[in-house]
Amino acid sequence: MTEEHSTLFDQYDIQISNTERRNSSIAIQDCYIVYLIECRLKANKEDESICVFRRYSDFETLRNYLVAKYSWVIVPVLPEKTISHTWSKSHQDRTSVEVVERRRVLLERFLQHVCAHPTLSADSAVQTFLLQNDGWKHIVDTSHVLNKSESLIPSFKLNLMQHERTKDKRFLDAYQYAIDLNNVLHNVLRARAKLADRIFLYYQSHNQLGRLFSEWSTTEDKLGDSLQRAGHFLDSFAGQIEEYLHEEDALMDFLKHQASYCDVIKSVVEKHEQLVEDNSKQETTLGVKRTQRDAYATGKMNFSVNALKSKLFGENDQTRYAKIETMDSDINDAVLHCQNADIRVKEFNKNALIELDFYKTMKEEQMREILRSYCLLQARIAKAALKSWTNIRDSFSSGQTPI
Amino acid sequence: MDDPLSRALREDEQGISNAHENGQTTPNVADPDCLEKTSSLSISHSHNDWILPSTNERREEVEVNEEQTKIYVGDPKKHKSNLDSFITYLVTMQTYNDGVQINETNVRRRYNDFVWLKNLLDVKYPFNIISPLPIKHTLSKKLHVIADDGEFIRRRMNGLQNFLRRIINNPVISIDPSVQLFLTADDEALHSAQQQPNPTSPLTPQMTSSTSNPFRQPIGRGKPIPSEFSRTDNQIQMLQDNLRKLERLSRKIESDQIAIHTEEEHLLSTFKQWLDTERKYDENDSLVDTICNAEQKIVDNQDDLLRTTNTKYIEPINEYVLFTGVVQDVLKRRAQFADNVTASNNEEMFDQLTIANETIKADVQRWTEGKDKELMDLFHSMANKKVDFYTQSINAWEQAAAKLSTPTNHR
Repeated sequence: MTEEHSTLFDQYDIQISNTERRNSSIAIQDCYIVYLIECRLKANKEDESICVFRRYSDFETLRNYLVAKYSWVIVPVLPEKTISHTWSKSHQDRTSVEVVERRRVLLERFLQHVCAHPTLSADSAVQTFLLQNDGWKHIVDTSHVLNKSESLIPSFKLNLMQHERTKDKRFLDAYQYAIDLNNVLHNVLRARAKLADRIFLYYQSHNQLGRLFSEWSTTEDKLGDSLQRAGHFLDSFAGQIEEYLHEEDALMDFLKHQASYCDVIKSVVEKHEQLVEDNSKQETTLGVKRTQRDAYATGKMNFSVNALKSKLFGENDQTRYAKIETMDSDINDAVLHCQNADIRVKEFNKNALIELDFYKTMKEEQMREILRSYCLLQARIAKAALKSWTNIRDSFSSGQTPI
Repeated sequence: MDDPLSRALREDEQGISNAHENGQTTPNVADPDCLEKTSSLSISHSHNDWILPSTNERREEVEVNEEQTKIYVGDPKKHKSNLDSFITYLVTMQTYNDGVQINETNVRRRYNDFVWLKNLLDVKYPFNIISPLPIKHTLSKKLHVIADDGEFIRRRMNGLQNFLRRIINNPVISIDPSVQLFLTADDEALHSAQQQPNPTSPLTPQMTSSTSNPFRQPIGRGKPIPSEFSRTDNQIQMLQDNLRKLERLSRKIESDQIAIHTEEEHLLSTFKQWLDTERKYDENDSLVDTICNAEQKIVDNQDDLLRTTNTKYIEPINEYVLFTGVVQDVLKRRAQFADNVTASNNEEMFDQLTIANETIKADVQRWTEGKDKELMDLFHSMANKKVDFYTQSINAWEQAAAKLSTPTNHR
């Protein structure tokens, strides 16, 4: 039955249709935003949609849970927590209408991507998050995947011990690419923000120019007409840019979004390396145990502590055989651990690589869309400017008709 | 005319010599109107005679004259003579009759020749508005550097052309024999004219003596300055103020533009870094490549625009500020003369004052029309450059957007 394998995305229309401001305490400043998630069955559109309210930190918790539990999955990213790389006049207030709207769009995208992912969408926490008011937190808490200490140690281990990077080229490349891409994208974002600042100042200067022309026109005879018209068009030119810069800012959200994925890639690769390391540890342990057992069995440990012990405490053959048996069963356990670790690594690698491929396709599509929108936006800015300057120029043509 | 160029020019501090009439050919010989005009005014061109223009008639003739004569300054060439090296410019004058070219003269002149002519005219026609010459050198450039600065030479040529154009537009001055000499005579004739002693000013010391007390009330007839001239003075002052403001603001906007340009270049370099990263890991680079190309075009266009802003726009504004200064000087001279006339109670001087007033009125009228047209043209061409720039930008971005619409295949 396809029903069993379909994702939440297949079954439901998922939207964040509204936002609300709530207060966490009596103080007016302690307000936060909640987002209204609506899920409506695709199969039956007349059915009432299921509505839940969630705030940003809820999304965060859910995501951390998913990242910890499904470590090979490239979990979709959330909009940034603190606003970065904006031009100086853009909306800085986290609760302002525009910022909330931009967040809403990206949170919606997050939900839709999660629900489109077969593994993630099947998770009960996700389903409860979307379809029931309460209960999802409980699932997350009891899953014990969000063990803080555990999540700290791996990266701690990796950094301090400076273990060898994986030898697997695919993962190695992915890691390096993620680092490099993140860097260049942040450079682009930073440069764009500075450029936006400059552009804003440039347009503003034309306000002054428009005023100069208008004032000047009062003292001129023939020239005055042209100056007045030009002044009027200069004013309208100066006022154009603000709206476009806000739009550009919002567009950059999506680029930041893409940059965030780089971190996700890195953690997947790091998890892979952790598993590989685990695996090799198990094998080393197994090897050690085998060697020990063999050495013990053949009694070649004359100068070791154990030999001394057995001599001192008077071991007899019976105890010796018992000991060897214990060691053997120990080794069998270790073999099992090894095999498990091996399977884990292989499974992880297989799934992670599938995820990476899928991510690459998605990234390219999204990048294309972002860049295309950027070009179209720049074209629109230039068109508006062209209109103004054509009017300004025509103000100074001889023989123009009065407005 | 923008000819490619970069030649050496070193200024000589020569004294200016007087011009004497020589056997020159008048270019408008074939023009019947001009001949008539010449004869009816019985011009003797001796320094002490004043020419009284009657306003309306003159204006038509001025317009007719405008259509009929075109002046070009171009083709700079470096000359090395025994003692120095300098640049000469080709001065071309073409006369037309009803759109048909009937004559053309070409002479080569250097900057100092223009200086000679201007000084001569300044002395001879104190109550006419005589166009300033392009500046000798900018503060930032030493004399020796001028030679290799193509932009400076171009601006200078432009200024020299304006100078001559405005002289030709003035019906009184354009027929001055020195002007004719300048425009048509060969080098020898010009040099010998320049050797002549300085012209004497038509203004007697009496007329130009400035009273030591600037606050002295006019005595005698007690005539105040005609309100018309004080109004003109105010207007010129306001115009100058506005032009100064415009220049300041234009420089600010230019520096804004430069700042933008720097950031655009920076943005372009970040795009290129991105492109390199994609290529390094064998990823699909076509998307970023497209953006890089578009951004590159923008940067190049901005470069173009910036290069011309200062020279084609800000400098001319600056020169117009200076030009308004010339008008103010003429008005001041008149006011001073008027003071002296009322003080001296001299009938002959009073007549000359009347003539001077009329000359100035006509010139101011002419100047104002010229200013209107020249400023309109200036603003028009500047706005047009912006129009071109934005048109090119739109093309670049729309092309890029189109390229990004079609899904590309992986390499």
